[in-house]
Amino acid sequence: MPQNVSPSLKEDLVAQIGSLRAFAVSLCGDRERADDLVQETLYKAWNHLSSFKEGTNLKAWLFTILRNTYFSERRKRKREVEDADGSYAARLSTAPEQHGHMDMRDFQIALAELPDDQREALILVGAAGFSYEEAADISDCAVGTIKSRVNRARNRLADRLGLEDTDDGDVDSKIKKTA
Amino acid sequence: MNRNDQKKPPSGAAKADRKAETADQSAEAPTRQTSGSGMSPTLQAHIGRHVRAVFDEVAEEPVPDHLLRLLKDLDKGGDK
Repeated sequence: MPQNVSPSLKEDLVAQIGSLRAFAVSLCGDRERADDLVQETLYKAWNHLSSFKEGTNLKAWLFTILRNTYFSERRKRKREVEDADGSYAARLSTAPEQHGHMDMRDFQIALAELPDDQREALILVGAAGFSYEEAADISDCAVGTIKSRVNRARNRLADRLGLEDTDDGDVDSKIKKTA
Repeated sequence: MNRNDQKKPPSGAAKADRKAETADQSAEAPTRQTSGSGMSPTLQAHIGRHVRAVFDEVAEEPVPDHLLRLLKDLDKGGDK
């Protein structure tokens, strides 16, 4: 229960909700559960704002809270119901069509099928805008580990989607060609 | 030149060394500019655009009311 949260800090908090939701969806693959995670994260963040140093990286701090919340809940759940591997991808592939482009949809499924740690690293560095160092802090691992996860994620996606460089510096997809 | 620095390389090792050198050269020739991942910048950028698009699709949605309400409620000091 913070006594005086500055209005600007409150605004900053609200401004991060979108990114937090996107990160949560990428972690759990479930929109509803993602919003529960964000809610829990905001609640925890609010109650621990005194431990946040204003002017430091609020976004990284929030992402860390969300990630820790997700994994501690997942450990609890795993003890109750064994969440089979691949269920994330299964949920996503049965989700209603959201993209008009076949290309994008393929990509989304391939991303969902990546190993969790690789997808997380790629999202943090490639989409959420964190440096390798920040991503390593959030994921509580070495910088080199993040780098190799990102590389493996990219290579796996390229492989899975049959993405190849063409001579004119463009990218071609074997999938598109055969479809 | 490195080999000259060594005092007395066993002939077998020297041969292996030479073999490695030629292998290196032939591997270098056909590869194009790549980053540390062995992937071209073009392909990397292509994947990057897609990853961001998937992320941004959710990130740019309007924030659900109940999340905004939560912050307002907390701000009023309603939490115990």
